Amino acid sequence: MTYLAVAYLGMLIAIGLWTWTVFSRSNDLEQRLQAVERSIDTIEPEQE
Amino acid sequence: MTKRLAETILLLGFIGIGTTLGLAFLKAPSVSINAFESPEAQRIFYWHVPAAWAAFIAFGFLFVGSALWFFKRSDLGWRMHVAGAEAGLATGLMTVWSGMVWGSAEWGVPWDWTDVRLNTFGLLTFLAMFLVLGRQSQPDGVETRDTFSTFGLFGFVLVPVTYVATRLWQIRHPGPVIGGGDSGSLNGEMALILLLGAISFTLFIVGHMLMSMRITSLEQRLESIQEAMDKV
Amino acid sequence: MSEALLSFNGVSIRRGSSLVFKDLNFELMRGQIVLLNDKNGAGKSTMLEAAAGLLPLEKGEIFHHGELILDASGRSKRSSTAFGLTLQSDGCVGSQRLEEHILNALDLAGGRIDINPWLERYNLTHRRHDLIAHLSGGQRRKVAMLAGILPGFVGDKPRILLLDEPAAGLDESSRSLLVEDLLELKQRGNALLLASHHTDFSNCATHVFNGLELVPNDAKAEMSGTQRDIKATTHRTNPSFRTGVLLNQRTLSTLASNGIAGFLTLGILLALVDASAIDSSIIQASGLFLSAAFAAGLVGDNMVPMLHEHRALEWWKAHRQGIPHSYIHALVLGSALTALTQLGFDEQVSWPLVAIGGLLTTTTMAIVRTIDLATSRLARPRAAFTRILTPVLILPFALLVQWVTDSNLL
Repeated sequence: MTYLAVAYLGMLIAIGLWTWTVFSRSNDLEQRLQAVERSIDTIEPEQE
Repeated sequence: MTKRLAETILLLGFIGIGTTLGLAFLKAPSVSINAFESPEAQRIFYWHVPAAWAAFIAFGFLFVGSALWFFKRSDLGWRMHVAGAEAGLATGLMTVWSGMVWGSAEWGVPWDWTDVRLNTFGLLTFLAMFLVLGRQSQPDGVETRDTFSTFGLFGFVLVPVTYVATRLWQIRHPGPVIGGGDSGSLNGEMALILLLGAISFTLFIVGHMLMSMRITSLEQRLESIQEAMDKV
Repeated sequence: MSEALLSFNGVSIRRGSSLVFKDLNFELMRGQIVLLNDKNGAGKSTMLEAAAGLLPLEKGEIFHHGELILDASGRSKRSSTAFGLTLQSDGCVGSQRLEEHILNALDLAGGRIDINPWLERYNLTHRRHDLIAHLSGGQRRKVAMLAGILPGFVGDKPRILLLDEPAAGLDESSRSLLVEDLLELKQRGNALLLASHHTDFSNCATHVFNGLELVPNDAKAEMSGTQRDIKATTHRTNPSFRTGVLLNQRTLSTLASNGIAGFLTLGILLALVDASAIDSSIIQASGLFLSAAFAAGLVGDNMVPMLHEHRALEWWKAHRQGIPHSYIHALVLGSALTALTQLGFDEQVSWPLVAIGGLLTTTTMAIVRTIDLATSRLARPRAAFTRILTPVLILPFALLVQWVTDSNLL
């Protein structure tokens, strides 16, 4: 029973971690995109 | 909008998986001692079977995506390939790992070369690992996509080949004696928990693949903006 | 004179994430020197590599001497008349000798000529037996350039010569010698496609291709002197096989990589398994005896990473006459390992098992090599983790071991 509980918990933590990394990758990319788009916006008015 | 949808599906799935495991551990009935060598270990099935089901969906996604890129050069196909490979790796590992835990408790050995499903899942998981790690090492481009989608399609061939090889091996080499008993019949409560598991895992993996497809398209958008900025 | 030796028919090519050519139609005629001198990134190398049949086509077809060599469905065929090729990155392996690479180019073209005059002309005679790795960048470029132009002097049949930056790193005097050679090649009826930024070549090119159309060029340079009388002898050897054997003998790469894996496995088995406990009638014995040979094969063919140097793999692939391999060495190594394992466990050597061990190493190596070659188009083929796929081979190995046991070979 104990090893089963450990196995269950371990696997839950593993998929939790995986989900966490996916979320953080998505947020990180969004921030980078926003930063790049903002920098384009600031370059373009200056050119005008 | 897709982001919210994907996140909701994923979180619902995750909660569902937690619930399934809680129920499996605390609520599911124990099977008769004679049916299994290690009666408690059968509770791993509430994890193993839905994970295998989710892996099946993920690999299906991978093959369809690979074919769509390879034959139609579809961008959606490539995103499906990437999402399917990542989800296939995760669910494949879950299936194989839980299978090995059960195997060592029930058969006394963690791996059985005479078991068709175990071998197929094992090899497909290695394929998914190759696709994920290999792709991450390469810049995106038609050469990368062509190469990895070819290997994705190779998975189609791998399934029947593994099946034949394992059957041949099984005929020649008797496997470990698997505890007999009436493992085919599931009582109502067990079936219900398994169903909940299957639904939760499906939601979870679909949510993950939607998230992954979104990440790939964000990466492509970022890359194209950066390329445009290089030219300024 | 107006026979098209090379034709692009509605060709579209994608590289990376961009479409480099769209519906390109182009013909290279006998006796033409077409210069590609667009700015960097305009697709000069892409056009030359496509002409050599190295790049998959999105659309269209490519013909050599009127024969289809590549189309968009991936159908590819070797042209009956071999061509000369100088790639932008030299295409020769550092462990080869200078003259070996040039002779390979001639053998692939189906005939040999005396190379001494050319080695002398380009001041390479004193280096002819040197390894390419020991040459300077400029000297290596001369070797790559000679391998591209010399096929044009073999026999009477005009050939296509594809030269990508043949003069990069060459001094002025070598460049003017090259211009003279190109003019003679043109005179002999060859068709040359040449990518370069050097102004020397605008003086000898008959046309300039600007990415869209062929523009006639006012070539000022004329061939000085008369056409040389060059005798060619037909030569029927298999240069890819010969190169594989030579490179293996010189570098001992199969022994150093596959051999070490095999010997290591054998060492571990000898350390862990009690020889007196082996019963040859049970499965473990044959599996045990074949393990070292299997491990040696799993390392793959070291020739593939060796050929990634200076993109030599692409050079060999383009000629479609085989790629150097280490199969012979794998066969010997696998047999030796199997025999040694049996001797190590105090068993009598079973010769059929020795032969099976040799074949096992060779076959395993061939499969791993195929996987490696399938990833060679990637931007970083060496970073692709192909070894993750080797577990696919375990079941076939187990089946072989069972078959050996069933057939009472031991």
